Amino acid sequence: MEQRFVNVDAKLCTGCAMCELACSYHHEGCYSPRLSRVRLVRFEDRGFSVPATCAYCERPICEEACPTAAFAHDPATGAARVHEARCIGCKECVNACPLGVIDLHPVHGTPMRCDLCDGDPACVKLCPTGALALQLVSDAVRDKRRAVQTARIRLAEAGGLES
Amino acid sequence: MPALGVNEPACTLCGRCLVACAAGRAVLTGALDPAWLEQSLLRVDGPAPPAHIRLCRHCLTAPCVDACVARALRRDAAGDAVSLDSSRCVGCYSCVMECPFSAPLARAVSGNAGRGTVIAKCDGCAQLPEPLCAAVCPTGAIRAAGDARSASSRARRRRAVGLGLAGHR
Amino acid sequence: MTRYLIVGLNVAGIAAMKAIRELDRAGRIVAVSGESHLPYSRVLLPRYLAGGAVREEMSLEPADFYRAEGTRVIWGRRVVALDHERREAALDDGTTIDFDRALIAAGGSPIIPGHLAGPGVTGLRTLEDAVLIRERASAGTRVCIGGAGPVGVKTACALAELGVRPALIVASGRILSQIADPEAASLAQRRLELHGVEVRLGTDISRALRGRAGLEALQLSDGTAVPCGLLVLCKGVTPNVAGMPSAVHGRSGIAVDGMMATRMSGLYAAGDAAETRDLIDGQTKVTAIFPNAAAQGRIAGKNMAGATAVFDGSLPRNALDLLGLPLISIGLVAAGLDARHAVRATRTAGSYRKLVYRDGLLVGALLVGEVMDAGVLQARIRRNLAGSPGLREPGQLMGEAG
Repeated sequence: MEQRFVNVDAKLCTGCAMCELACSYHHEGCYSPRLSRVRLVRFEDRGFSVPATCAYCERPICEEACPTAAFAHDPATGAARVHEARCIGCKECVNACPLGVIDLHPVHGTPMRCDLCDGDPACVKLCPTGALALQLVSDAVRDKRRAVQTARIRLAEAGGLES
Repeated sequence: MPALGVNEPACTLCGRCLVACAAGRAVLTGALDPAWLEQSLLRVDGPAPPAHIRLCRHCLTAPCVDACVARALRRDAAGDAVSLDSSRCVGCYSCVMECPFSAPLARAVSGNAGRGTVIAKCDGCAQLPEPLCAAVCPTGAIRAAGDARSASSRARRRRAVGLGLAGHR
Repeated sequence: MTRYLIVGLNVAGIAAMKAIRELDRAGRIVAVSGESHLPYSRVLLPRYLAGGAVREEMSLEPADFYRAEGTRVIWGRRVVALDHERREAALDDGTTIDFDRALIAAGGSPIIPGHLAGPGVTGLRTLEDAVLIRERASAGTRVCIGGAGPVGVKTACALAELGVRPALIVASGRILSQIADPEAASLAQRRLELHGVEVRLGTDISRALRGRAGLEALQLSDGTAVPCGLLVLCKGVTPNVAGMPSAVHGRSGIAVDGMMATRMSGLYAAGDAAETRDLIDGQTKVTAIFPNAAAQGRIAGKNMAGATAVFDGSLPRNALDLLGLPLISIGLVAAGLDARHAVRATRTAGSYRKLVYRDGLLVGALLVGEVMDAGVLQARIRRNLAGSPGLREPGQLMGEAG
């Protein structure tokens, strides 16, 4: 089964932070960026921002680093689950994740990881610009290919590209 | 949260962390006996990389604390570290059995009926600004990560720089 | 405001109390402790008996822990009946306590068969037991220990430390038969004998011979008799389930699901009174070990306070210090090894290490002498049993070379 993930198009992100609020409300019942599984990284000085969320790595290094097998997957959807009672809070996953998207819950001390909201991610639903999308890897690549070629055609039509 | 992040694949088994830790112990306790190197509160098991770094991760729901029958291991008052009161330790090996990193180390003690061995483990260099092992590690296998949260946010930012630049090209 | 009741206050009850306090600050907790002492670590009783631990060092929590706001502890009382319908518990002094959610963490009591019960026969479960045994042993009474599980062996070690020479009477063909194989057991036995413990294997106690001065000797099933002034029975514990609704009873203890909840809503159980799934054989049973009680208590507490936490199951394990010889047994080590299992054993002077694999995956470790990597092995066993085998192999483990 091919894995879905929340894909990010940084060009479209306006930094409105709806994704963080939607995520924390869905998972924790309150609006708190600190409790969100998707986190907005802001570069105020350069005027852009980009959401960071679990990339659903093919070889999840966070899971490999976990000594207690506290990460599990929904067999049907592949969505990640955290087996909280197994977690001992050793922070190995936090240190292992190269993307910095695993954070510890400030109360429970267990990892917070994107679970794709049962296949209908709240962040994707509320993102007003389409910067976030739930996609299969193959679809994401196809869209990217198409976008690049579209840009080439537009450029050619405008006479900017010799063909 | 304590300031230690461990990344075993980066370890080259150079042993600087062991020396720094042991030297720190020797200075702090004034114990300059010939076996001072044995005082190190971590171990790096080889014989070749990948290493197994036996260093306390100061877990939040620490199995050693659950298993300590003498309540010698506790999360300290500030909740920052797993601390050991070696005067309470009875050497029952329960923490040795529980710790998935095999971080508790055995220390021989003389006298005292039934307490031939007690446990020693990392105290997070509580009296120092930075854990010594992390300060001397040349490869980042042991890092003083501020706290785990800021380590996470730094990695996120590094990655986002890449994404953001690509997006704005 | 939720009213919580904790029946029995030791490792499991205290862990639950902490979890509830953390999640529900407004709740009201009432705990009923069968003893009047501050709750203490029962595992330390053999050390206490040997004079190696003092009373204060055995306390699980300092006194002010039990005086926190919203908490009330009723000391030296027992719950004699739990009325689920009316959400009311009756104590042995006739008073009642109302509750919304209750935790049964009443622990267990030493098993003392009827034909042996009487003067001069005791278990080792309370401070009073330990004091009695120490006084009698120090006064020169000949002490015998019945049963050579972890508690019996630790008691024998403690008495040896006291300088008395106890006899260990073992029904099975070896000591520590549940947690050790014959080779490890013989190493352990040699260590005990070296310190003056007399080990009698393969014979049970059939009768207690009492005279005017109380217990005088034990009649053994092999036909012999041993002089004995005090018999300490260490043949396991039976869960304290009296007074609990019959609907929650399991085979011997209280039946619970993964959330430590019983069949009756709002009623939970944890610790030596609760039956959980054994990760090795899949059977539901009481696995009365200290770290289990702490984990189960915490999980029960979280669920009682409205969170969701699931207990994985019990991994049988034990760590012992046999007068300077450490022994750690984790998972499947002796009983039930069949064709699916492969064993790798290594021996060096003073150490014996046996790793047991099921279908190629590590499921058991028995370590004697050299034990310091036991935790890594336990983590691997747990991962294997959880169905997610360790992807990252840790650096070469001791005794696993080649």
